[in-house]
Amino acid sequence: MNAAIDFNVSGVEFIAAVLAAAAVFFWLPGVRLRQLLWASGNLLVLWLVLPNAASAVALAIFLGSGYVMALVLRRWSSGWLLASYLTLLVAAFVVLKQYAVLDWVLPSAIAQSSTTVLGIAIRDGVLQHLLRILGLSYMFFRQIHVLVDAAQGQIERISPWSYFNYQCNLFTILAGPIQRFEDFEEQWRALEPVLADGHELLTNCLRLELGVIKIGLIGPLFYQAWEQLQGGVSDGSFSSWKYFAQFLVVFYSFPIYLYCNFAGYCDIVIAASRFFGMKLPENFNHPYLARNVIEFWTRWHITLGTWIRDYLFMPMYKPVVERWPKAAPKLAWIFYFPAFAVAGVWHGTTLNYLYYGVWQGLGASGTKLYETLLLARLGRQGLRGYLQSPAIRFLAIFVNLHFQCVSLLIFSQRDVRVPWHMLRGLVLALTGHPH
Amino acid sequence: MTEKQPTWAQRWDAYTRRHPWLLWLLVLALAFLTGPLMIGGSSVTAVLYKDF
Repeated sequence: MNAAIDFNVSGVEFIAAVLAAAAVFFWLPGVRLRQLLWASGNLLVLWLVLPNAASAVALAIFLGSGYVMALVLRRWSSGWLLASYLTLLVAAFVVLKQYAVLDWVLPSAIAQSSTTVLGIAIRDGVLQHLLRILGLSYMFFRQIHVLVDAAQGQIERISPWSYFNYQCNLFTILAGPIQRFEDFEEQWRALEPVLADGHELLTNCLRLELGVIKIGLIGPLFYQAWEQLQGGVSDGSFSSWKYFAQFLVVFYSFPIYLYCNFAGYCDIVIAASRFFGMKLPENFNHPYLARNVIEFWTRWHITLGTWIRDYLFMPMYKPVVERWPKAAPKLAWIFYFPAFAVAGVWHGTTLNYLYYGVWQGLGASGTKLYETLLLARLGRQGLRGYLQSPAIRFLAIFVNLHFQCVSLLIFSQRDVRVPWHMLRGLVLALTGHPH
Repeated sequence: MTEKQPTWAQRWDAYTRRHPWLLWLLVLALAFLTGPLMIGGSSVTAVLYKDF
């Protein structure tokens, strides 16, 4: 097996391969041959991104166990079985991703040990730098979705063939969108053209090109500005207006870069998969125009927001609704915090993602609490009028935009002290006490 | 009852259906622009998604 390469959906190799395969795809007779070509692409991408055989074995166990458990849960739906397997799955995910929490949880004797188990070397207590599975975070969330839906009897059919290709789909393996299995399976069984005419084909080509421009041209401009200037303001020293201006560039550049990069990536993979008869779910809808954190997650990384609602928020909130139907809406704000905090931690293994999740959780809970208080004070009619006011709308969008900029300031810095220093320095400078 | 106004995306779609040359022109022009971008690649993408 080769050393892992970085998978770049805006690179000429990927785009050229997609266009070449798309040109012959619907000339292939029968759905089975088309599936075979697609699956070959999936295998090729896996071969390129998995750094060693141990990673491939770990991935096979991870996905294989999920598939078997989905079959079992479809036949014998058991809450205990699902909860036990999900606990194991979360533990496996934490170890495979080498979350920093392992350093605190593992006894120091184990954490510092080096050994070899079944041919897999363990250094400093964890499988360090050996197992690397690109896209594991997304596979993890897709697997949870399949297991929960299977236990609830929502998945009619599932085969190893469709499950493997669903999880390892080359268009979504890297960073989503998080497609529903039922949606994938239905389209996978047909693989018919979804672009109705030449106009739709051209529009799709345009979307792919715009995605490349977002990733390759606009995004990097803002990334470079952010990268070059952030060092100058990382200690939070705002001794002159020059530093204040630098901070503003850093503050706004990263959110623009991240949007261009991620939305551009989604444009490319959504457009590319349509060439092959697969409509992926949309992931962005003018996110920075959202008026609060909860709305933001219905516009930014939409499929993740939906996943958080269905598999984190609802399992906590639904029992409360069933038990206390009248009081439940007033208590909903409590459950937004843990749901979004967990989703934040999912983004990465380091502390900055935990703080990012906590910040989003506070924002979501605060939004719901504010809405509950407004409803109690203004009544339903008054709340409607409040929400329709253009001035309130503008103010809400402005506040939420800056809330998200702070959020991404935390997200962007591995050293969690840096955003703290920056924001503290900013507040001190604005209140006339620069240090 | 008032009729719902078409969105900008719907207007654009209708316009380019009436004037297909515009879509062709855009696709070809952007192909020239995006070609070098694709060849140049973007290491930034790789940096961002390593955590996933």
